[in-house]
Amino acid sequence: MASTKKTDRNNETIFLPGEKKDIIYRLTYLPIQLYLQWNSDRLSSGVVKQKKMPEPDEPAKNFAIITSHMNAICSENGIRYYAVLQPMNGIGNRTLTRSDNMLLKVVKNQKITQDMSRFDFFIRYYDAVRRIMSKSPFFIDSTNCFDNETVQVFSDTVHFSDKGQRIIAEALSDIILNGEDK
Amino acid sequence: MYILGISAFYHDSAACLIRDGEIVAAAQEERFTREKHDFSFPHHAVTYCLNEEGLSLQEISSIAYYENPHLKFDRILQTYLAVAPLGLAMVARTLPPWITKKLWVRQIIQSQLGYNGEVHYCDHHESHAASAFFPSPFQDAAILTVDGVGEWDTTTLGHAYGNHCTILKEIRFPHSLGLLYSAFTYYTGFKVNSGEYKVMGLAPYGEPHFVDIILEKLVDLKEDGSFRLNMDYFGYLNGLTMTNEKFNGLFEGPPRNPEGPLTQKEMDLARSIQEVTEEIMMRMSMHLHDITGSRNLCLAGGVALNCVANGKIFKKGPFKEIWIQPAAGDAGGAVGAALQYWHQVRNNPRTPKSGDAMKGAYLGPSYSNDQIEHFLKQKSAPAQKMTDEHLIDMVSDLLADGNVIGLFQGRMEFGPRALGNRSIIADSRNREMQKKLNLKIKFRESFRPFAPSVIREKMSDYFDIDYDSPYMLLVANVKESRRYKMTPEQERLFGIERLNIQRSDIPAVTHLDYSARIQTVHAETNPRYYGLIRRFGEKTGYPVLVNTSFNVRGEPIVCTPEDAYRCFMRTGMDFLVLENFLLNKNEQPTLIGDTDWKNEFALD
Repeated sequence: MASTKKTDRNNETIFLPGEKKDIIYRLTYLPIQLYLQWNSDRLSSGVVKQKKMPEPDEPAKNFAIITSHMNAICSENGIRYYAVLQPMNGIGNRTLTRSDNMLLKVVKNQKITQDMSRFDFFIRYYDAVRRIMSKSPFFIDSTNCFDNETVQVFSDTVHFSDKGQRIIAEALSDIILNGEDK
Repeated sequence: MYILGISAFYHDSAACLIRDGEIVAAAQEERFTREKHDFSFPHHAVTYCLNEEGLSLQEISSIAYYENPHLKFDRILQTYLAVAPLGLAMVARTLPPWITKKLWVRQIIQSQLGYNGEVHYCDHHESHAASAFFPSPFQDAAILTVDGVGEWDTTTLGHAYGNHCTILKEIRFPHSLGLLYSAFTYYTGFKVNSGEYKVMGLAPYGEPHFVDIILEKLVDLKEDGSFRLNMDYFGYLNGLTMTNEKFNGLFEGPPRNPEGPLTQKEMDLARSIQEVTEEIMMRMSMHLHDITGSRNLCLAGGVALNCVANGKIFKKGPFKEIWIQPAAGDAGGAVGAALQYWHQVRNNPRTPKSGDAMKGAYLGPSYSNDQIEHFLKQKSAPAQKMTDEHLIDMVSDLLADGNVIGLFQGRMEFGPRALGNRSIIADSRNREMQKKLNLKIKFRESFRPFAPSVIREKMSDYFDIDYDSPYMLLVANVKESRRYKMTPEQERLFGIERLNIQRSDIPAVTHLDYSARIQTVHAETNPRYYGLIRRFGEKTGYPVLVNTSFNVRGEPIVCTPEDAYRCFMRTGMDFLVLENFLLNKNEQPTLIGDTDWKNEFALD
């Protein structure tokens, strides 16, 4: 070779041992799944083009399809899969704090059709998901897990405060560590 | 027991059928659909394989797929997460086909074929390794597989004995020699996953001016051949292109426009990346020899189609024997997956065959004289039917007179090379032949070289190598005594200016640097082609022909008599052999309404 550059002459190597790889779906699927769901909702509903929201059953069905796909992949690879419906501000039986109400104002005032606010849509969407997924063995509805909390658990409509994160994390870790079925 | 191997959904979809461990049929989907590098589900190839043995799907014991789609998807997702939020455009383009199709290979195979049996996934590089070793003539061998990327692996070093291959070491994505080469393919204006061999062909026109830059900035190369790429310069992790702005800055300009003029810079880049590739391959071979102690080397993976690197490994490397899978790219994964399942999963014994178990790569469809006669009648195409002996005699005369002949006979080749059954052939002594073939018949770039077919026992009379190369996968130099020295005036020429200089007494197959991509022709695997070259040699003293694939640029190699006739009529070929029929172009009726055919195939 014409090169004058000296490459490493020591024994350093970048080869890795040949080994079977594990699939790390448990680390990677959740955010991708959410992205996909969001994207497929948009695409299937024509939101992008038509500037209108779909009927709530439609994205809920997508949720069911995608999660069943994920479950099938995980099952094939010996991985237990859960599809967790996360809590959302204003959904469930929790008594809302003053901050919650302020945070919800935006989505309640945001009209997506003449008769429906974005918040109304979410309520219908959650209902549809729970209805469609009710018999699914891997579905976990965690929307009520803040029902007894009086402290602030949301930082906006869908994101949690530190306290909210801890409650969710503990609930999920119990499920995972105990290998609980639904 | 029959096992069907399938590769699909990336490029070069293919199917292969093995019967009790013997390869009985294999074909790429592109040959049937006429779409180059077709990656769709290989319906036609599967159908052909089953028909070849007169089987229904119910008689297939198992289907083996050449990679693990779940593991591959995992790599794609993890790559995205590692670079997020960059790469959103790539994700938006890449993920939908995965979600809707590529993840569901088992279900697709079962539903598309109406098959209810077992579908076995073989890891991508295990398929390559199996395709390299199991058909080889060796009982024991070191295995080197190098390509762009499979699931995670981009390179593996392995060792095999009897009926078992073991991967010992590997390099993982994104550090990939195949993708490095493809990055330069892209940057020099050629199509990725198809134009790599053009870069290889262009290399002799250039100087290795960029080798130091590549090794200093792009590749951290270790003594044992392992390497790491500096991803700051590449776009394939988070973008839609192989290289990025920083790469452009390093080489002082944007990528060449496809079909734009080729300058000395592209030639120098081609030469430089070729030299770096050879160095990496050589180091890996040395290391592989050290850790396995084997005297035999088997190669597969797309980079194993780099016959220049292969030739150097054979000539200067530590291994005594070398065997390269003729379908070294992803199509060959179908063979590997089926054999891996048969030998390694089902633990069936293996007895290496003398020569090899690929049957000369003649594993595709064939057509009888009756079928051809029927076709010719339909076309009202005048043709003369001859005995084998008469045909060989006539064709060798026509070749000696400077005619270019389309040769269609026997079973179609499996893999990217035409090896005498779907070939365009001509006289290797003719100094105008390279130009004529490139510009008037293949309609491709003038710099691209042509390969010689030589009968095996005369190989060393013409080339400085005496070793089987039945699949055109070894490059060696034309013998010193046959070379023509350049005049001082010619020495002063640069790059492409040297194209028309006669380099040897077989100029049509002698590349600029006196190299040739040799096919040795063997009486055992292709007696007809062997007989033709031998007769040509008896008449001219040169048992060497130019052999190039029977197609035009961008077109898959012809499969059927109809494909062959159409290609013959569209190009400057003078005669066509369809089995025992000889067709003279001057006697053929004009193809009506076929004026726009050059737009039929996307340029590669």
